[in-house]
Amino acid sequence: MDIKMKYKRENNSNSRSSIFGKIWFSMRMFLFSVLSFGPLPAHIAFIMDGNRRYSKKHNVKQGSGHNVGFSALISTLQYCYELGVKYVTVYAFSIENFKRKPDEVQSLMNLLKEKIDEMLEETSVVKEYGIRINFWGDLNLLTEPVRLAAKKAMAVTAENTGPVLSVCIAYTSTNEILHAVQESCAEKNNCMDVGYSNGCINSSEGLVSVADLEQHLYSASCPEPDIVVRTSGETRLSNFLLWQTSFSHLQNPIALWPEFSLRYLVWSILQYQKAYASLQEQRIRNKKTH
Amino acid sequence: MNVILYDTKGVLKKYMASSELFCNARTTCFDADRRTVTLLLHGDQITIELLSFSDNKEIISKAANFLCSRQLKSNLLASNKIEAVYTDTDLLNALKMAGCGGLQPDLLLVYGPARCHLGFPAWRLRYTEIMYMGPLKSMKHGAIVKAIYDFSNRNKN
Repeated sequence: MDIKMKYKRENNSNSRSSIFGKIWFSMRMFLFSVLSFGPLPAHIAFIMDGNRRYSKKHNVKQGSGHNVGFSALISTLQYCYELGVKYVTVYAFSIENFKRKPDEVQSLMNLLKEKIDEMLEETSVVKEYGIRINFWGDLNLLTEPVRLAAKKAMAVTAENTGPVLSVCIAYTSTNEILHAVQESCAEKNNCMDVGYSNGCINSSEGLVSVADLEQHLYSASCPEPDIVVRTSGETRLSNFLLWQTSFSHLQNPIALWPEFSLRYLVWSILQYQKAYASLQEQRIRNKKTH
Repeated sequence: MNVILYDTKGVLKKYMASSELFCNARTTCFDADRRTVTLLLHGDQITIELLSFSDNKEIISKAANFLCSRQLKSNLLASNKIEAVYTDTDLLNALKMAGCGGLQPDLLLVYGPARCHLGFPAWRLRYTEIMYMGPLKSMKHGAIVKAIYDFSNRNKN
């Protein structure tokens, strides 16, 4: 249990200072210790769908849904890291989302900047768990304040050795694959140039392999997701981690993202544990064949 | 109507090419590499494409090789080296040349022990609705009809 709970908070938070906070924390730890008898995922990916529907459902301003969604993200991150899940990836903003109304896109950009800055504050969950933050996507498509905030967050947390949070922003999987093809081809062309000038490379050598492409994906430093959760009951992957999710357990709870809570996470883990043996068998069989 | 049949090991590709059902010259037409077959059933034309795990990452790497070698040749001929910028269209055309750039399915029915797409070609899974149908041995006509009905209703809404 101690090994799985290695990502405990270093400092006491306000939520645990009260007696109820302490009781809730103890209950969580007991629950996680029971879950840890079965296989636990190392990497969970979330498609945070349903923020706008949440706003409509509760008759509030559209931005409020995203704010509540951010709170749900922080809670989910905390629970994941307490459980010992080292990698969490979230789909925050797709390249397709730029097609929304300009004022909606601008307000989302403002919200992203605000939340990235919030994550770097001293009292944030990032500091408490020593989280390393990655931003995956074509960051050049973002507005300058958001791009700079994202780069700052990555630089500030680069040396952290705790859990890893990867935020997919201005991202699509096909864009990621295209980027990997671009980088791999550029690398091979540079090698070929050097080889030709040395006169020692055959033109049929130095071709792009699957391994070359994988090294140039944004997710090269992370293992493949064990679970992909898309909230709101939608069944599409919507161009998210298509390369990396061949043997990931796909789940689509009907809760909207702002409603995603501990009980949905626990249910997600239980479903994963039920499917684990068959997923592992598929992975092993596939490795042998390919 | 277009149908894709996918299995990770490519068993279907080996089986379908020799199956009596698909060897009837009057109603069946295989394409050159025997991966796509067009059937005439009750007057309707159905195209069945057979895919496997090797049509995913390996095909994308083949497409990348095509783009890379084309760029290398043009750099050798040009006096100044130009770094190419590839677009989605370039990669899609390269995938078509590599043999897997077909249509994206609207609906994917997954049969197996777990809900997982098992390496279905990434480029063709972008906005596909993925429905888990349970183990393969429980495949029933009624369940497929219901899945298509649910999909149609969802799209109407």
